[in-house]
Amino acid sequence: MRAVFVATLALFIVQHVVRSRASEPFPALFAPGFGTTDPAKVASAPTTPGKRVELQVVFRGGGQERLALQSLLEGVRQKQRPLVERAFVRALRAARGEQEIAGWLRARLSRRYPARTPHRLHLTTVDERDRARSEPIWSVDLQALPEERP
Amino acid sequence: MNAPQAAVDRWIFESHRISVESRSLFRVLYGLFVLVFAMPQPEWVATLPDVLYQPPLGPLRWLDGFPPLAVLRVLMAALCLFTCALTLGWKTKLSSLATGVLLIVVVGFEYCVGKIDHNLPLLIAVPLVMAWSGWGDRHALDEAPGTPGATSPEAPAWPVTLLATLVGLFFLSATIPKLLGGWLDPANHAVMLYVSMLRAPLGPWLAGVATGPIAELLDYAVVLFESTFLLAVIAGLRWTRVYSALAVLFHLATVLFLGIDFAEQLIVYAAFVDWQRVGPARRLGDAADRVIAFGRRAPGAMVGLAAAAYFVLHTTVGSPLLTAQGYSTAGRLAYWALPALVALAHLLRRRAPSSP
Repeated sequence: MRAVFVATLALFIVQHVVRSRASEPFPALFAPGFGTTDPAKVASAPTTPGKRVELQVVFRGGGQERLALQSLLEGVRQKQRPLVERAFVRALRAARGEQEIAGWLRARLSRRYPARTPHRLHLTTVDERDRARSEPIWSVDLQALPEERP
Repeated sequence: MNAPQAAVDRWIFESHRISVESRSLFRVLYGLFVLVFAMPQPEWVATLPDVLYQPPLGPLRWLDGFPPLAVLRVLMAALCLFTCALTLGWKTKLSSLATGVLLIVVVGFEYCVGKIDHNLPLLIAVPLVMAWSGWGDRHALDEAPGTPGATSPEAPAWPVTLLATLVGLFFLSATIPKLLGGWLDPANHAVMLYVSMLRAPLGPWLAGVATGPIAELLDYAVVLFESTFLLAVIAGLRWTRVYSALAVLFHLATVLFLGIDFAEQLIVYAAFVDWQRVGPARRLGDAADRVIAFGRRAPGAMVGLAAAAYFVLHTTVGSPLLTAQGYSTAGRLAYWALPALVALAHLLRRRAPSSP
């Protein structure tokens, strides 16, 4: 049993070493370059709760809609939606799996707007407190994607 | 054996001795808690594109993407089965370990989206540690008929010590990044920074009251509490109970001022309570005994039926906690109000614990 306690302490130390190398995303005070008590810097932090991702959908034949990315996350629990949203942003900023994301978004949009064909998509982070701080993330031409398999 | 080693042994094997009756009541409470409040609902990960699959360090990295819905359903069915078995005390050691392992796997998939929630690790640790504690010796299908409580009257104390140590390390691990990250820098008012970011119900009120030195004091208070929990555990069960009561008040404060809810953690502190002396818990034990007596002839069938009914309910209706409470502020406050009152009463009754 003594060994169990020693192993527990060893695991504790190891996980801190690992975590200090790959810290998880969080609206952290400890993020590099993050300000201290400056409200402007708080507002410009990458993952504050006041920020959300907005999609601007341009349809073939004209017309466009704006909607929150979270509104497409049907099936995902409300509590998990912000972190899924952030996962999308991280992947897109790292240029990882863009085609897969585009296909996934197109499928969701086709369900949302069955009578219209999404043509282009623009993703933007929107600061609810100050829209002037909005920042484009990614744009994609959905027509350039391979057709969806039935 | 030299003196320091003897002291360590005494701490490991004696310091957190809780009666088998209390542990067994805790097992029933834990099982019901998981079933009602904390059963995961991981099916949502199957709706995500695999590009979002970013597992943390561990065996889930062997997979390339989220599992299909059918696999998650099978895992959930197994988890429901073993959690019901644990609650009813059927093959308790096996069901405790299986519940812990399945919780790790199922919750692990939810953590593969990029964030590890800190409200579940201790909840998961409970069955893995308490499996060895004899918590299935009473109010259980495992109990030999006609000899209630005859098994293991002196169950080992070390699992409770280990669980308390894990809680202490959990809090200490929250302190370390704070200390390294400038939390106590006088230029920072870290708590108030989070208050302004997270916009909880009483956040604006706190922001108006806690300015200057008071704000700095709050930063120190958080670090002091989190860093000394382990010392309380080393001091013994009485101090572990005091700090557990403080932790309940701490969690209520984080709900009120930060909107951060560690709801699942509540049951972990319950491991240190002497449930034998709590009237409602004793009545719950009596009720469990009646249910168990009913199922003694075919315990496997009873567990299977209970698990099947629960699985159907959970899959169709969802978590009873989320259904009833959602994530509303009122729901969170209602959840924490009674435990906070009990914790406060405990602290007032034991203002000056004299010895470990």
